[in-house]
Amino acid sequence: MDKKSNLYAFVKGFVNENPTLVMLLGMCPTLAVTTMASNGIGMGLATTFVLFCSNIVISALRKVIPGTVRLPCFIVIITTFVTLTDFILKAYIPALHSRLGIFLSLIAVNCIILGRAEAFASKNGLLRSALDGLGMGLGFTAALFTMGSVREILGSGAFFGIDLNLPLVFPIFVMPAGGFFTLGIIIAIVYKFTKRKPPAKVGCAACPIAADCVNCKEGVAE
Amino acid sequence: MKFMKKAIPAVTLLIICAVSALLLVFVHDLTAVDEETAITPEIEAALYGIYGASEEFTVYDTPLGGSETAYVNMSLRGDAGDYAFIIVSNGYNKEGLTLLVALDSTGAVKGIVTLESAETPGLGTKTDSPEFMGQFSGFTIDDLPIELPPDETIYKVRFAKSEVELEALKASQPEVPAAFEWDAITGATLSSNGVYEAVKLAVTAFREVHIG
Repeated sequence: MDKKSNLYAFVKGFVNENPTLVMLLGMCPTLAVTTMASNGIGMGLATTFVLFCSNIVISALRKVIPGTVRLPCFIVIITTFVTLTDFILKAYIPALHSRLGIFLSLIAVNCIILGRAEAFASKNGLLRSALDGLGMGLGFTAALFTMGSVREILGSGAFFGIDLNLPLVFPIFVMPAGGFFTLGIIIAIVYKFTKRKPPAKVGCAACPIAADCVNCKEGVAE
Repeated sequence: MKFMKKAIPAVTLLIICAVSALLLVFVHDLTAVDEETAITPEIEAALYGIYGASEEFTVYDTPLGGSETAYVNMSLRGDAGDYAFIIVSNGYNKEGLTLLVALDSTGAVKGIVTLESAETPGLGTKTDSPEFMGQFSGFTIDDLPIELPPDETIYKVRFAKSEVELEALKASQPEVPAAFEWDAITGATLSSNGVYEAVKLAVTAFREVHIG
């Protein structure tokens, strides 16, 4: 697929550049709120909304915002949308708001959003940035939904709160340890599926302290 | 001119912040709900499950004090004279349990509903079962454990000089009323205690609003 096309800007977030499973960003909400499938979807959609809106605004203002203050400006814009989402969820879906708790406000520091703002929206046009935000957000939602489903089915024997009457449940999947385990397995499957190679071994050549490092076996670069 | 050029980034940031603030003020005014006195749909459903549809509840007086381990977050009064208290209690986690303790008009526990639980899944969350919650049904202020003043006869018995004196001393000992008995959940002692503390606080709070 042409990497410059608008379709690719949208689709890449699902598998190829999935923010959670491939880029390993936004681990905090991924591990914390995915004890239930519905929580995962709620968190994912809230993040998608913020990502979509902030990408549009940042892309629209990219020529107005001076380079020296671009990061503070991005953060203000992102936090505005996060607070907006917080208010709206609190007023209209209080049950979800209380389940997501602190992690809703913490979308503000989710590295996916700042990452997309800095890496994509500040360099690309409005339409592409909007599509990128939407694709990345939905990719994040899909990853959280998968995590949440696995953990809810194995950990509490239910799916979307409906009891499945499983003969055996493993409560550890609902706890943090089970979260890491599930995430590891899913990442492994996605790597296999996308046939990505594990990252190549990084040498000492690029290390700034190679000259003084006692552990450096390759000696000083250059 | 040089100063102007330096001021542009700061002014841009200021404008963005101001626009954001105005937008948020507007949305906040639009969506804000008074949380302290609002009966949320969750609370409504819990009350409906215990009292049925006939009774309407209003926020009575909030808050109503408490102890180190539990405090009353909201008191509700029904139009038929029943009281319900929303109590935040320490379980395994501090303030990990938010319980609705429902009392009838005589002050006996009618039902307990877990509104929010931050307890360990699979252990502490087991307190939210009809078998565990049901054993507190009918708990009244009379079931509160009574703290007796230190009893000196216990020490005197040890130093009794004769059989007759011993019998007399034993007979004069005040009778300790049987304590309320309940079973904690294995592996969830602290969560179970949290529920018991909430029940004790609810009947105490009932006496406060009923008499005082």
